[in-house]
Amino acid sequence: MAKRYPLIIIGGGPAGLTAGIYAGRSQIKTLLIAEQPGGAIASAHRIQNFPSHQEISGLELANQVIAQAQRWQTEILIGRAGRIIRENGGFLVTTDQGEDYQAEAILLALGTEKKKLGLPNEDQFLGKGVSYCALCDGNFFKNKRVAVGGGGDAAVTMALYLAEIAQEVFLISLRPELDCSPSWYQAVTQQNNIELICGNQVTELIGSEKLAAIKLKNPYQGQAELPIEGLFVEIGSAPSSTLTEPLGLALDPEGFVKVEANGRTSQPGIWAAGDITGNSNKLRQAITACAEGAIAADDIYRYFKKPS
Amino acid sequence: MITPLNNQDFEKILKENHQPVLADFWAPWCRPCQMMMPIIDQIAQEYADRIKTIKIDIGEHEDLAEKFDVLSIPTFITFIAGQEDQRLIGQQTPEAIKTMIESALKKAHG
Repeated sequence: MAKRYPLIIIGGGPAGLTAGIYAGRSQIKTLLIAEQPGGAIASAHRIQNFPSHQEISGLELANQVIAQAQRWQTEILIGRAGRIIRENGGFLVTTDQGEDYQAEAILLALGTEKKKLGLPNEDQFLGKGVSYCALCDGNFFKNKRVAVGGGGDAAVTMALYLAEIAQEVFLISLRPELDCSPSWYQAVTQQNNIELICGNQVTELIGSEKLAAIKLKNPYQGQAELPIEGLFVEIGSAPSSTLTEPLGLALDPEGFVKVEANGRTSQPGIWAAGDITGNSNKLRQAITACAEGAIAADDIYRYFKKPS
Repeated sequence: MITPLNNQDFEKILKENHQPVLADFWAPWCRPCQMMMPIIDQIAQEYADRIKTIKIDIGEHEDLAEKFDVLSIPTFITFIAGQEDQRLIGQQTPEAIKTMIESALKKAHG
């Protein structure tokens, strides 16, 4: 028989974990299902804007929030929720491992998934020069020439991290100017082994066994090809629709879940928080995700407490 | 059971081990690698009598990462009689790892 919880949180980034802390403090027995507890924040090199920490690695921050959620009795299951259906007035959540869990309320805190470049041979070069995690794979490129595709905060911090390891880093931004915070802009422009290539994009990956070069849309210093050994992709992210669409949730044109100020979605019994929503003016920071998780968990507590 | 590769010679293990080997290339700074640890641990126990599972910290064994062309972690490689059979790169489901192991076992036992 499926184990029953009042609340199941799907997703283990700052929104889901904070909701777990608040639900635990409200004595709501909670299961949190996440493929990667900590979420995207765990891959961040340096975080300088999370209050109470002057600077902290994403991994350390993630570990602290995970420990805090567990302290408040949030059960964390590492896995993927493959299906959610309505059943007997509640929900049945089935993981990819075929385990069933019942819930009275669901909080979706799935975050977003990293976008790929969409080049034909991109998957072929995965693990052969193309990477989506500088923190994981940066060390393989000691004293080598690498490029980062992207121009936002995440791409810039990725470039700064790689600049400590690699010989030279090319930061290739589609926009004519970097779309990052002024403090990161200052840091990246002061780094003498980072070369900015703005208003350009990678159009082809070149190499036989491993990545050897990239082709750019506009020639750089007169050359269409840029010889590099590593390409790190950080061009933003998009919400996953695998769970939200079958549940019939109202989504905005970009696929983000529409929520009320209290985190309620268009479907009764389902809340959403964090990067998967269109809330918080789409700022998509750890702190806004935490806030959304707290608000949703508080509303779920009120929902359970209401007189029937 | 997972055996961490300490001062042993990995190639000697590959050469002398009669069972297929599953190598997990990881690093302590890699979050997806850490997430895979309990999964690999469980699979290693499940297949303890049929495969040898080795985890290789690439921070300590850069030479092996280079030798086996590992440029992204986690990377999982199965070896049969010392030769690479298959590899999976990045975070994987338990089913994907088991499918790779079953394939290696099938080939190893004809």
